[in-house]
Amino acid sequence: MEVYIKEINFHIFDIQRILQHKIWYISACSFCLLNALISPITKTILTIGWVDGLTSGGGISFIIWFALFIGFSLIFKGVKGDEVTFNEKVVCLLFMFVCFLPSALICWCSLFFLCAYLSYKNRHSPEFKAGFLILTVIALRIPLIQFCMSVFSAPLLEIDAFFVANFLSFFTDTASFSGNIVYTKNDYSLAIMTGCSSFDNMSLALLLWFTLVCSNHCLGDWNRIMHVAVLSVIILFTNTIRLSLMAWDKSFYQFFHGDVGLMLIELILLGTAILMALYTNENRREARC
Amino acid sequence: MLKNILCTFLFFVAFFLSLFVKVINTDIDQDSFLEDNTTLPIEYLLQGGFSKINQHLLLNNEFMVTSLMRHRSCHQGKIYITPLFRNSEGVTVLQEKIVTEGDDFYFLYQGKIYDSFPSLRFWAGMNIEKMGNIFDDKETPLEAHYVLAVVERGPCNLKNTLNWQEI
Repeated sequence: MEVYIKEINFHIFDIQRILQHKIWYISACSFCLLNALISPITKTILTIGWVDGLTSGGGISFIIWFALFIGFSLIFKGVKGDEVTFNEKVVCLLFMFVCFLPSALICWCSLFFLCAYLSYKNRHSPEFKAGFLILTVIALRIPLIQFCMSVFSAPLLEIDAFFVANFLSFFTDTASFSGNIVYTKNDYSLAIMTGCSSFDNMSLALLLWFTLVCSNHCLGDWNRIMHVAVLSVIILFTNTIRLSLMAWDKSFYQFFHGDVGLMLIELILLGTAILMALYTNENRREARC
Repeated sequence: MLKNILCTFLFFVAFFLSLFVKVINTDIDQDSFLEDNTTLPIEYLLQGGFSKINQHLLLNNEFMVTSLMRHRSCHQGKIYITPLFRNSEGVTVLQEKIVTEGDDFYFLYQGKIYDSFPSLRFWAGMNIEKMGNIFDDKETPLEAHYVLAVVERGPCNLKNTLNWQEI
């Protein structure tokens, strides 16, 4: 009985210790994150209802939720020897204060800078570093995608159209493209719009790969660039096939543009990223993160 | 102890206040988002002396609607106006489906004329406007933010003769 009470006391003490050390990190990151996510989640839930909204991840990809779960798990697991310094507290408060501004973009940016700073400050703890790095990449992804798809949408969509038209030219002589429009037959053409771009799918696949690799502390080898390149090419190729089928025929368009086709592509994306991460983890030279 | 309780209390107040501000600023209606960005600019043009002759969809969804219009100062020419509210994805569609040789193709954003889609200004303007809406009570809906793609055909030369800033 005495031993049992001692164990409970130890656990309570342990939780208190962990909270004292990490409460600033977890609070500040959660603060920035929830401020960035609250608007799209509210929008999704109020538009399609609570049940559908929650089962669809609140309009946020499940890959992002998974990456967040892994990131925060690693931060919880991390061991910090010394107290959170005054400078760290000030930085946390500063970024939390910035999140009062009503812009998701600013919240993502503050989460990015906060996590990058904390990742650098805790570089000697592998769990903290990996956890904050994952959060840094999540925070970077959305503003970067928004910026690129706003400012560089024309070349990015044209690249997709180029690959689709060249892929289709193996099967028909009439395949051509102009800007983001692919022509296959006289009366049928496909306009590749922002939502169908390979860039978005590629970023999600790379985020999943990064999360899985980073959680196993296998980052840090420059050979990983090769794995990133291979994964990007596979995703680009998969999306090209999907868009080519959509450009080929109206019935194919309706199938691959619909929910089933989209789910199929997401499953391929998920599978490819997981397999590539497993390959990366198996081929590590040394554990460095 | 009291200091810790006060800090925790302030943290939760700040937390819920910041979330509340974002929730009340969320435009929940997807139809209203589309309507704000497709019909609202046309309404402004109708008030500014334009009359609508016709409108049609450029794609198989409602994301690209072009309106054929005429200005009261010149009846010989035609003008096709298409609001683009995501990015420049619709520019090639317009070039392929509407623009013919001799047409004047330009873009209007915040009262200024551009020869090519003002991507960077549009992205920056969208983010600045989202923040600005919290500080001043504007009449325009939160999500109404667009570039007008204009295809002008005929002798009117509205690009240079009309004061677009007033419209």
